[in-house]
Amino acid sequence: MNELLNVTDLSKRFDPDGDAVVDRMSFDVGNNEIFVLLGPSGCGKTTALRLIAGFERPDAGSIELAGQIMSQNGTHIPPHRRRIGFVFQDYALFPHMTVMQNVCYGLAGQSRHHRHRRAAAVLKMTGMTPLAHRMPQELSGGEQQRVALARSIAPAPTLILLDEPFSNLDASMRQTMRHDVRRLLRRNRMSAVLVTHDQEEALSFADRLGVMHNGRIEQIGRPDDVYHRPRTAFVAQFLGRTNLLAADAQGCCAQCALGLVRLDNETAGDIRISIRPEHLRFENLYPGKPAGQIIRREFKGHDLTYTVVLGDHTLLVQTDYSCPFVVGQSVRVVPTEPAVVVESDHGAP
Amino acid sequence: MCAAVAIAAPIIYLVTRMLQADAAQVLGDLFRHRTLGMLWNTAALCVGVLVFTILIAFPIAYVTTQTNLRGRGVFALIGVLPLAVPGYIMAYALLSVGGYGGLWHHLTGQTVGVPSGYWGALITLGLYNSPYMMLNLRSAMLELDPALAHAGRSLGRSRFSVFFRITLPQLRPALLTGALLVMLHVVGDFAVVSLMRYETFSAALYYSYRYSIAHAAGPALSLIAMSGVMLAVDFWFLRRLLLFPSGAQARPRRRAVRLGWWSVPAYLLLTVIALISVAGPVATLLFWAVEPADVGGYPAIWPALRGSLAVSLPGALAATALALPIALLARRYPSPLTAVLERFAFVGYAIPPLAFALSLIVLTRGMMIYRTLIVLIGAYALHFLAEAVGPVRSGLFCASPHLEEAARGLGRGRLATAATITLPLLRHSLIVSAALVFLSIMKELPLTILLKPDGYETLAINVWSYAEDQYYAQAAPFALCILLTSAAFVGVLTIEYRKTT
Repeated sequence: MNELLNVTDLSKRFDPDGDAVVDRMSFDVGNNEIFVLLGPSGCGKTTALRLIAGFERPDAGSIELAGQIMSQNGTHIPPHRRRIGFVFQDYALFPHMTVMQNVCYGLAGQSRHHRHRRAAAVLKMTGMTPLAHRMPQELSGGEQQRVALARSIAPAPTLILLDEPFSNLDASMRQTMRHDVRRLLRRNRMSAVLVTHDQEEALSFADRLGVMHNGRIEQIGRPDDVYHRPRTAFVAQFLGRTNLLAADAQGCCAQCALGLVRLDNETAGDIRISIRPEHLRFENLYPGKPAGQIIRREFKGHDLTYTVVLGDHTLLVQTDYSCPFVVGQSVRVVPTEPAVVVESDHGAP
Repeated sequence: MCAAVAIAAPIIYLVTRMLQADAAQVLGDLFRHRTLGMLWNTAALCVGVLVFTILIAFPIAYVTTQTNLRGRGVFALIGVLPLAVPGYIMAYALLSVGGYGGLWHHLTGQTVGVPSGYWGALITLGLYNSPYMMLNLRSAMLELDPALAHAGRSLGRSRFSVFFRITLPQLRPALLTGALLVMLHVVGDFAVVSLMRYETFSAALYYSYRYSIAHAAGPALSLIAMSGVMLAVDFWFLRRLLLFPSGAQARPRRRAVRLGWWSVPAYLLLTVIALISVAGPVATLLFWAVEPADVGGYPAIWPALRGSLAVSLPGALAATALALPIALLARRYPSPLTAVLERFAFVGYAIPPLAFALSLIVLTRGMMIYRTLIVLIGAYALHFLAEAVGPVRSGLFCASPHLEEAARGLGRGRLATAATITLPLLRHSLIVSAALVFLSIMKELPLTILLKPDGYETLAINVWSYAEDQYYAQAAPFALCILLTSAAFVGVLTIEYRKTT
């Protein structure tokens, strides 16, 4: 396969006696691919990004970019020779330089004419041409974000790393910027690694994503695959809401609190299954089948989320806005899709 | 690292030498009847000055931060102004009013008594040091979260109860920091107490030193011990008092206290302070400056000014050059070691200057550099290092460390990054640092007195020695020259300081 970035068994610990912040992490990024590292805060995703950029030295493992070793054993190419662009969470625009000077900064070694032509082109791409002579302090958050992006793509890096780039923007701005940045990366056929803790952002931004937990990648895959077929309980819970149930499997079916459910994989014995709230629906009571009681109904405009108590379990059920059931009513809950078998934690399922 | 060694070495050397050489004699010196008297004198002055500064500083800090008084900004500035007039100039101005041949005698033909001794030293040092207390209290009051007071009021407490139970306890760290600064200055002060003829350890050190170096060791050790005890006590209190803010970041708008009729005494107090601490000394100086002088006079300013500049400029540059790596290391590579290094800058400031000077003399005796300007400039740089570290440190705090990484990511090496990003960003902070130290060295007296080569002249030395011999008219031109330089530099500082934030 045509890989651009190969990260193999990367490990880093800051405290010699503490846990590894990044723990034997491996993933690849292809040409023109947007890869997203998703995880809760403190899972090591930013450290991973800083290792790739060369701001930190790994304790073990290797980083290879376009066939060239960046970090391995004693080798450590310093950050300024890696041709990797980095967009910081706080943008890190140089406060003593204009927008134009910021963008030109990475173009040292070229003639003045070339520098300005390239900077002008990048500013045009990001829509920042009218603000080229402003100082960073005079820009809004979204504008600073665009300049930071323009600055990092100006030297035409092999790879762009983005560290939580949208987290400092307000909700409405975030949507627009996400869309614009993605289109810009695509149009310039750039490869990028983005780090975020926002699952919605990860799902909508990524070509492929890796879900991180305690310094490890728990699952890598295309967004819909990871969402619909989470490999672990953590991934299932982190990517949106889910119902986790204990079940007793026999072949392609399993017995659980909901009764007999279909599974996505054949297996046997005690297992854990995950069923998304939107893959559950209500039916009228049927003698002999398990019944639950609705204890909460959240109206969210385009849909409804019900909370149902069923035996020892509390289930979330998502329905469309027209669902007639009310709080206090007894109902039967049935899955509409096969349940996903998940590993309960690291190691064996 | 070198800075730390340079500060610590002479002190340790002094202590060990003195203890080795004739421990019995030194200890005997220490516990003589006179020593106890000086200990009492020093402590009494410390407490008196402390109370005095709080009495001045608290109202100023309060009315300029918590009330709707018109002209708050101007009065905040007035609260800082005493800093521009060095303590010994204030003392000289005060002393020169009274007595036979004093200003009052010149004007009315009658002599008046002016405070000298304990009260003279207390008033002068109190006025001069009040800005340190005021600035600390003021910034703490500006940081006060109004929501806490609102919470207190909503829980049914009166405004006074809230002030004493909620607001005041939050000001304790600022009070302690201010108190530490004030007391260190009082213990370390030599110029004012010598003019006021009040005997503290500093004065004792100086007069014993004139007799023999060995005799000065006792007072020097007492001085160091006293400052050490103060630092220790202060840190012990501060450690238990570190208060962390809780809850949301957004703060409700502060509602200013309406002063109403209370603004009259407020204005009165502020005006009196401005008159006594700034207008009074300046007017007195101007009076003496136009009096014909028997010796010296205006031509004598030039060699003294040259002398002052010849040590102030290199001293300021050296202190700034030392401060840059210290602050950079502490901020960019935080570790216990770099934190200790940064602390050392403050230790240099806390050691009483006379004791520091004496230990340098003992250390360099027999070396090539003994009694040269190199030692003097080095002593300045180490003593005022803390003043230089401060602005660089806060400048670095304002700049995100990502800026340097961003430059590395854009293809620049370490040196290129330092030259194009770090230094330009710190430019204003570095100028502020250098200007602060320059100003301090211009006004500095005790280090200069002990460490200057024989016959070397500075403005401060001339003011002090003429004033000590009661040649008030002769001292005036030099004092005015110091004040003018101070004023000019305070201007530069305010402009540059605005740019750093």
